[in-house]
Amino acid sequence: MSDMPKSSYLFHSSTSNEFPSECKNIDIAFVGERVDDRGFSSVEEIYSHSKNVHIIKFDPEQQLTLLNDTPIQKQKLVETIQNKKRILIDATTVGLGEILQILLATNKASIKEIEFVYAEPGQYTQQSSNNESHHNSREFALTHNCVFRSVQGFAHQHDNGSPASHIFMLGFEQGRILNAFEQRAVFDLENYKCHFIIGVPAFKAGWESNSIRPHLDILDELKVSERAISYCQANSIRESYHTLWDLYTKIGDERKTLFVSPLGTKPHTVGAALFLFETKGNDKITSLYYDHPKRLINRSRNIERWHYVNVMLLPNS
Amino acid sequence: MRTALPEIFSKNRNEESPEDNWLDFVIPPFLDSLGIKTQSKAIVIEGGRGCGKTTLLRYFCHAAQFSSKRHDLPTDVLDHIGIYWRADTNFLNSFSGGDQSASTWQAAFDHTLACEFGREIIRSIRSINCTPSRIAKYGKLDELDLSALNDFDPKLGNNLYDIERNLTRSRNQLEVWLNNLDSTPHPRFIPSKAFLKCLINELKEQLPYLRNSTFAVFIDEYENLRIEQQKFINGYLKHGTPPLIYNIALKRNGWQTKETLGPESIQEISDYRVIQLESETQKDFELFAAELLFFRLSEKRPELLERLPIDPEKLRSIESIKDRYENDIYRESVLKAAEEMLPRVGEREAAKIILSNKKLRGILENNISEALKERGSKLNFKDFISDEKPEASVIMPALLNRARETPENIHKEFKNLIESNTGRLHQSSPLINNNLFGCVNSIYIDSGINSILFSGFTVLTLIARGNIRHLLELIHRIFKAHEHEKDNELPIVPAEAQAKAVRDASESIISTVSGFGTYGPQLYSLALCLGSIFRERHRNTRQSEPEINHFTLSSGDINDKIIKYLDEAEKWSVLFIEKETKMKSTGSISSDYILNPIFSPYFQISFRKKRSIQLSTTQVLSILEGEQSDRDKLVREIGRNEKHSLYHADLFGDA
Repeated sequence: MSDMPKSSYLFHSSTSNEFPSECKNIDIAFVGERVDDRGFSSVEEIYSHSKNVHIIKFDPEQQLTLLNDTPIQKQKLVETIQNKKRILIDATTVGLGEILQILLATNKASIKEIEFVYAEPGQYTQQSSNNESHHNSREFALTHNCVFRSVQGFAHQHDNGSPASHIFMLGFEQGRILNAFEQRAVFDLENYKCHFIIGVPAFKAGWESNSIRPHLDILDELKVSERAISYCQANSIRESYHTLWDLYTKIGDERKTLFVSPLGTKPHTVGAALFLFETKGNDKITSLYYDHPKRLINRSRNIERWHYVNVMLLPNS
Repeated sequence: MRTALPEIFSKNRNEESPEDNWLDFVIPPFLDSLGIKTQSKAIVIEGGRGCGKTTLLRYFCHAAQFSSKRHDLPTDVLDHIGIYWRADTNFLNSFSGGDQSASTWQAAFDHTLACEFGREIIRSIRSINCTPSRIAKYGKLDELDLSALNDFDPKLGNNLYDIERNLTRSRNQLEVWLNNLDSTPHPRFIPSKAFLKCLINELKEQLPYLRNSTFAVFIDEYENLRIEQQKFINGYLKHGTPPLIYNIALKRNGWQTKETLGPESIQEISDYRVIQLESETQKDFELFAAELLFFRLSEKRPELLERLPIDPEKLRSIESIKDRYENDIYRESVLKAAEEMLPRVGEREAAKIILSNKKLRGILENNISEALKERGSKLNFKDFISDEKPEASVIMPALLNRARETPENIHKEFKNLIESNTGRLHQSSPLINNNLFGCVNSIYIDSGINSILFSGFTVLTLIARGNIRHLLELIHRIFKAHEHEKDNELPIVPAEAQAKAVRDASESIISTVSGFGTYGPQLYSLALCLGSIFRERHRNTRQSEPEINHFTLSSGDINDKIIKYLDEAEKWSVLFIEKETKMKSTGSISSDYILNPIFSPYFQISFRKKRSIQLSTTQVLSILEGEQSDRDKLVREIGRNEKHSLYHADLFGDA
């Protein structure tokens, strides 16, 4: 039996009420589309503290990366970051597809350190109703549903009827996980083992019920036992990365692919990107199953606090 | 170990069942008329979510048709060999970009089809030969020389087993390439059309029992493929001829393109034939549903078999379709047995229950008193209630709230009914027939008690409306709620327990709507808002237009956006669209948009298609795209608008 690989990345994190002081003198920063208060603040701060700022966008349908609205080849992206000492990703505005493209480029450019900044929302836009027949609904207007499409580099095929494991990192909207099951259409739970990660503690006390409650029905339908649920701090990239590694150590198997669907908070999504990047090419296969949500304008309001995370991308031991 | 009743009905998605569904498949009455086994060109199977597309496809494919559980294979069974394929669209959707040309991605998709279909064709040959007696009858697999396939890839090997293994390997190499585009060369791409033709020719030449065989590929969930992949498949639909034909299954309105990669498009009739599966399943659904109920029971609880009105073997036999569906005595006995197990309380019996239940009667009395007060009458509620005349008593609040009726006249009619059993309130009068359901239901809604009208097997079939998945979910919930199971006796579930379970099932199903495709959240808002509007209308005191549960588009621009939403609502069976039955105004658009009756128990609204309201396109768009506060406003405005309009004349008069 081969030795199970272990996690190697090292994290240095901090939180603050102001834009993190660590995010100054950045050589190159990547930002995304601004749709809400925190996005505008984050991008503005980054522009004033970085030598080069690029707007990065990944088009999942065309599997195409755009830098400053211009399609860029993979090698060009590598050259863009080559020899840069400090690379910052604005996790507030940049999505999973973009983060994976940057991580793939760091590998080619032999870069071993990457930094993230993230502005935690003060409040999400909630659609509450006064109607008695849907008084239970707790829908958050975060996204439309999108087609699940993997990303080249992290795409493995699932054979109907073949054994597999699937980790879902849950967010506020049940529509995304329902859509995931609708597209996958696998309910053979003997062969297809589902695990769930819930963001607890949540960003704010009480918000954990926003990620648990919308999913109760589907957890019940899938007959999910407590053992198949893990809890992980909603605002921690490091914790989510380690939680995925813990599960991978327990359920990773050379005979079946482990699919990962980060449908939860952005820190969880970043943790998933780092995990998928580190386990890429392992005998115990990991694969991305993801819907690349389109974020709505003004999806959140205000900023609760800032997070800074430095990740040392050390090679697997 | 005995299987608990709820468990028998808990597996309600075909994806949960193995690909061999030979023993589990109840032959629907329309099966033979579909002409699938005698097809000579492509078939397109369209149907809403949960109508049984996948189950049907699996039944026609090799794992079921050549199941080891099928003891005698008919002589012509090998004429049509079904190959099932459901793509992993999460994977195939990433076939683009990556600094590769469009032609490379097309070749990669072509290669995927060659590997997938090639493996499945080989598996189908193994299915034919899955028992020693079959090997003795058919066999010759070890003698096969498939070296001709090495022209496509010299590493494929010469025999059946090596080729199957190496097709899997080649498929895996494609994955490795996809994930390392800049460092790994792509595998030798195999062109599916020529490869599969060669494979089939070799098999037919060397295995005499395949001489008359046609391989029919069924591609499930076709609509989830990329557009260019759909065009590629469309070309196969157009040009497929025996011995290799391609078919697809998709949801209603699932077509995104009918183009091929060449200059031609595909056209119905000349290139393919469409089977509208839901139109088929809705025919005789009641009997089929009852048979399915008893079939599932017989499978898991054989000790109950002698008490069941069905013979499971006959339900699995195509030859017995006529015996089942053209035999009135059989039909009656099966439906009667189902109704005995899941008895119905209709509106007339419910009226009696209302009078005997303290809370429900209290609401009736209060509603009558309120109406009398509003009308300035000095009569007492007691003058309008009689335990001997429950139907007339229950509709009193509605009549008393109507402008053209006076309390005195109604009282006179009621006295006439009590004394001589005649008049406008007679139990078979239009007043009773048209108003009783709505009036009974409205009292239940006000009480917070689950409406007992949501009970009975027949009602379940109306709520499920041809959808097998929903029917089984309803039955599963009913038996889950029913705790009083007796050994060796068929269960009889009280109507109250059914009503609660059906509501729970409906709530569970509506909560899944937000996952219905791209516009899931918008469709969820649509279902919730329409249901809330109809529920408010069901609570209307006058009940002048009871049982409103669908709408027509009255005015506004039917633009691409609204068409897209309505198509999606139909695609996911949130709405059913039918030609309008009653034209109320000259400006109406000629379609009725019916909220799926599976949601009716959740809102406690009628499951029978009765009356409609008119909505403008602006209102519908506001429901779909607006803020929650906009929807709440619409519910207040449209749902409750009649509450304060006591003295407006009734649109349709008395009835």
